[in-house]
Amino acid sequence: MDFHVLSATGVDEAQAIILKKGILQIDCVLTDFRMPVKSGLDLLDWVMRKDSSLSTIIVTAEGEKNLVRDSLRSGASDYLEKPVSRQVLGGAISRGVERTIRNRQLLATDQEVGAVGRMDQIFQAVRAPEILPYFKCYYRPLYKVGGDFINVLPIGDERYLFLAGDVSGHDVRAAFVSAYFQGMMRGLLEHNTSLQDVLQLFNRILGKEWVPDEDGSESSDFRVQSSLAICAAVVEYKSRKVHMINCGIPPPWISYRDGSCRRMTRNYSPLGWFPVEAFGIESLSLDDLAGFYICTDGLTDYADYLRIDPFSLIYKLLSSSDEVCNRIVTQPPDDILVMHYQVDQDSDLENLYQPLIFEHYSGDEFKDIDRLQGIWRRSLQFALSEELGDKIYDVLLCCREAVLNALVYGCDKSPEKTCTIQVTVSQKLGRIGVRIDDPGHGHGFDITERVEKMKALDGSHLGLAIIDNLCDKCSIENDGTSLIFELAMNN
Amino acid sequence: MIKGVLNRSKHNLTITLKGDVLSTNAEEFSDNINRIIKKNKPANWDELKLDLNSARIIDSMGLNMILNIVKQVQAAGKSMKIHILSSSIQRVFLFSRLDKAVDIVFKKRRRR
Repeated sequence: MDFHVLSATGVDEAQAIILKKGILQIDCVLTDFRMPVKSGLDLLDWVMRKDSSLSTIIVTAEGEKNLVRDSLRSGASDYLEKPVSRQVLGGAISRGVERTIRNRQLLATDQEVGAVGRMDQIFQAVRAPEILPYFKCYYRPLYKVGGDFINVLPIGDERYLFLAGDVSGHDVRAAFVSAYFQGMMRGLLEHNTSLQDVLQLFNRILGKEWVPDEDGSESSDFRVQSSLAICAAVVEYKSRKVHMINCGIPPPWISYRDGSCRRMTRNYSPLGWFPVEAFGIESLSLDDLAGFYICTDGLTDYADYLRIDPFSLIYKLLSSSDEVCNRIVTQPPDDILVMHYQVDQDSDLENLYQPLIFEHYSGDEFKDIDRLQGIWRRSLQFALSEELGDKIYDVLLCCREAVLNALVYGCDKSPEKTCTIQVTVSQKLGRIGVRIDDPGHGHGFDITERVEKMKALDGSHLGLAIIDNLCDKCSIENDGTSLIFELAMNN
Repeated sequence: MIKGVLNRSKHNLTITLKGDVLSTNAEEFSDNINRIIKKNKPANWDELKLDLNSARIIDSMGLNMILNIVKQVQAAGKSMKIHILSSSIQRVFLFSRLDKAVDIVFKKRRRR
């Protein structure tokens, strides 16, 4: 055995020797259990408090099973029963030393990961304080590094970049890919490179440059090693435009001033998956928009887990304190990131309707109307808690009648056709707005007139009559293929 | 889901429905109510009490089903009461003028 050994006759002396030498210089502690004054367990406790990565071996008398159990429970890495042969002792100490070295390496790596994680957070700060009144964000990372990221950066001439991303993996490698991309994006956009060109470059870097052929040259094939899902939006105040590209993030929602929404239509695969001939950009006028929402798939997955519409989760997370958010998001399966850019400031936004439910259903889902109603109920209760009171049942009844009508008549019960339901809320006005669109032929009648003319209550359009009577406002648009109604929230 | 109790001394038949009355269960409710009415011959009661206290929503098909029961009871020359706790259902009954045809007994549900 080739070890440098320091020896002591009791616990106090051992502690003094260890402290004098420096605990990080010790690779293994071997102690008898029975010693004068203090026991080996006392020394073990002390070592665990000072350096839990240091291996400790307790030597006991034969048959002291309880003692062995207590030792292991207290953190001893091994135990030996007397009598101990030289060979067994040497083997145990060798294993203890190896364990200490391994533990210390793991600890050092963990500390480095933590430091990288703190750098990650620095990248993610909003670098444009003037944007804060127009921007809300919720981010809950799952691990120390390599998670989703969000940047808000000024890129000159009243232009701002909103960048949300999700790298494959949750490790230091993912953090590296993420940091490389964020730095490259920021630098190139500040020097007026187009969004499309930056994405084209990084797509090539991921698919070819970082997966070299055997001779070290850029890969001739496009191979996937790392991938990066991103959504980038450049808001230009001078031209009153926003330019957006989405690669692999759930399609962002574009919201309009009446609370209605649509999802971005042109979306690409994550960067690093496939070569793309030319990235197309979606440009929108800020004058038409209320704003846009970008979230990573962790949010939609968590909404699925809660069995609610993602917008109800977004509404709650962006309008609640950190404490409430932490109560809501208890066991996320992935990072949860959502951001909302709003064209108008908060004070103006109160007048606007915020989306709570935005869903598409195929015609054959009429059979599942109870399940759909369950999603609406949970979503409204989740987003608005007790604010709706019993009025929730009026909202649910009207939605049920309208969606059933859209699925059965507008979509002809066909799985090929879809209808859309959008439920919005204005806290300031205290109103819930609902819009249901279907692809049918519609009709030309006026609802109120039709309801007034109804001779018998059990005639057709009873559902429509219920909606018209329970709502404060009810109207039809697009030749009857869109039904729009509003209800006051308080009874 | 549904049960009927005949009170011979008070000459009434109480039918209790559990849950909402909706397009997806209205037909089943209707069949069961008719079965209970048939089993407890109208000669044995003068009033039908329909207990919908556990319902929070009645949709258009549910309303149609109840209207059919009302018509049946009226045709038999009997009276009818509907017990509800939901203000949403009360609003539907009022606008549909069901309260003109039968006695609606509404007690507002207490918030828990």
